[in-house]
Amino acid sequence: MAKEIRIDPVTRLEGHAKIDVFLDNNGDVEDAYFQIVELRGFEEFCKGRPVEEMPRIVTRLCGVCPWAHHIASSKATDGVYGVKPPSTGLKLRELGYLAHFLESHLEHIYALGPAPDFIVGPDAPPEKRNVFGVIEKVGLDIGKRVIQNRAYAVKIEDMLGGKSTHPVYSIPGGVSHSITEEDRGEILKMGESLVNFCLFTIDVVDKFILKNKKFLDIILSKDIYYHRTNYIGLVDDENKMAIYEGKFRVVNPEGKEILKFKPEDYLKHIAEHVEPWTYLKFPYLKDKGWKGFVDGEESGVMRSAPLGRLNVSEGLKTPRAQEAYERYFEVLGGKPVHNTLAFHWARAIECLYAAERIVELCNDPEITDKKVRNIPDPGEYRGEGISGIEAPRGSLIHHYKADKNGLMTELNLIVATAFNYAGMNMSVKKAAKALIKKGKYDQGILNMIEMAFRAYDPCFSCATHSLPGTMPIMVNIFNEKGKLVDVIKRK
Amino acid sequence: MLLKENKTLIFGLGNPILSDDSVGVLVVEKLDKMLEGEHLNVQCDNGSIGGLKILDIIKGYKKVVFVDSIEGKTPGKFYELPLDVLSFSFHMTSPHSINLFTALNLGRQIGYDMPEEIKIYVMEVKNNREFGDQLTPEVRRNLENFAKFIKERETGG
Repeated sequence: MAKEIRIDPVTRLEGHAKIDVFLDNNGDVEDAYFQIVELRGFEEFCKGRPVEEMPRIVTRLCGVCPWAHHIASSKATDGVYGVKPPSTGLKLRELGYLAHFLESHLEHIYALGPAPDFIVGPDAPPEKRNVFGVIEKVGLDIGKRVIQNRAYAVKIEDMLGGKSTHPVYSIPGGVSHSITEEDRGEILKMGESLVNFCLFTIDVVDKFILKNKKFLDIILSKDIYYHRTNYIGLVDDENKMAIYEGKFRVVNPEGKEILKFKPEDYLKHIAEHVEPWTYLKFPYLKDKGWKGFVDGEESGVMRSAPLGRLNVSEGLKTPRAQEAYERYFEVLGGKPVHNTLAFHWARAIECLYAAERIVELCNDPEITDKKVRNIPDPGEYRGEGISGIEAPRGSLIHHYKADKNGLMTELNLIVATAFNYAGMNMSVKKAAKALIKKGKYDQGILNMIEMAFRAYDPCFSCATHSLPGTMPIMVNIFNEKGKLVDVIKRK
Repeated sequence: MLLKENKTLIFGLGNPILSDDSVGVLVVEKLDKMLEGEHLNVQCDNGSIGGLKILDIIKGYKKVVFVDSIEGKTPGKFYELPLDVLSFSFHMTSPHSINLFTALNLGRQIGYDMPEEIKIYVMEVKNNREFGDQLTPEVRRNLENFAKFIKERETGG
């Protein structure tokens, strides 16, 4: 009897998602889909609006990663106006954005992903698999450190961003204000605390996950959380990881560079596949073509974000993060790492990089320079701008066209979560196939399937750990006639 | 000037460019104007907040009043939402990872000064999936009354 299992988050923030698992007559998994319901009409909303408003408008696209869109948008508007920000303007953009990386990554590590799943345990009761369960395990003092250091990242964002959550800082040609010596000193202190805290976070990964054989086996298992895919990420001239400025580098499943291109050339190399069952498109490598949800040498599927970024780069530019990077590949068996759950470790390493880089920037004498913006010259107006940056959740492309009056005529965004969308679908299917046998599943198994996509930190993972004691996830089971025969609720 | 711990925060939740989703933001903006120069113990703000940001926003206030949208059969209808049915409020349940109750408990556990009282007012809405700056007529017609209703309940007039 064919059955459909639906893992359906019942609440939403910015769009929502559900997982449908289809069983065959034997109760084994036949197929699985990770479906996203998106919000509509952003492109139409933007058309006809002044292009300089875009960096402020796009922060409303998503309440989770407003800085990523803000920064990508201001880079694209630089292109439209043909203006290049002064050196300090670029450094200040990077400074605010690094703080956002930390806020986003730290929240995922301690509240959403690896901490609840590994520190509390993948098969622990759902009501324990949350931030309180983590505090219960690691102790209240550590819980306080988590909250305090995350708050430092937010404070840096707010000091620069001008508005909590939705920054109004980055503008065509640079940023809206410089920082004082006093600001620099305050940010430096918070940055130093964040470096220490991120080193501690790397130790947490080591102590609670890598030294636990059962968990390490789960991470290294090729049966559940493993795909040999291509990877994409931004690198600088030395092929070191970049988040703001650089070229996109693509490596194949063997780790060999197969492409390196400027963000402006993205249309030559990246296409998007459409499926009728979801609103989000699937970016793939044009040269290889869309071969379906498959991995391997011939596939056009690529993965992005922390796993992809470390795989495409030849190192990190800050010393402690570089040490962590080297150990990561040593423990996980060399480059590239295909283990999906390694996303979490890579994310912790990126936190350390971001914190160290904040300290570096604060120690740069140029950071308090007053020249933070170049006013666009009307003679340089181009009417088109393309930017490519790395968002916490993956590569992010903004492409704008505007008419001679500076009003938006076309907009194309390839958002970070989309770069991993094919990977997420493959990961969910592989985990479901490996874990559900003869129609048998329980809360622990369903959580382990969720872990397959939670590793990517998709934006719509919001519901999976909310409100202890309630039910953020529903599993509906349908028979072959489409009749609901069972409903499983999180307790 | 009053200290934060003696103040009430009225916070509008929502996305100002997502049609009816903007209700919380627009109502609190109206309230802010209505209260100008009067109730100095009330502070108004708004945003699309998520995750631990709730904690950043509510800590230190004596009382916090959220204004949000809710799915319902009667667009434009507004009321106070009992905290035990909080899960139906759009922005209070799944903001990335941490909801209001989790944020409150977490804040108390780590020793933050958490509000003594929390309230939520909601308006039922129709279109919150499409980007736009227009409200559906039923929602727009009731904005002013919704703001007055909250003002009456929270400031006595």
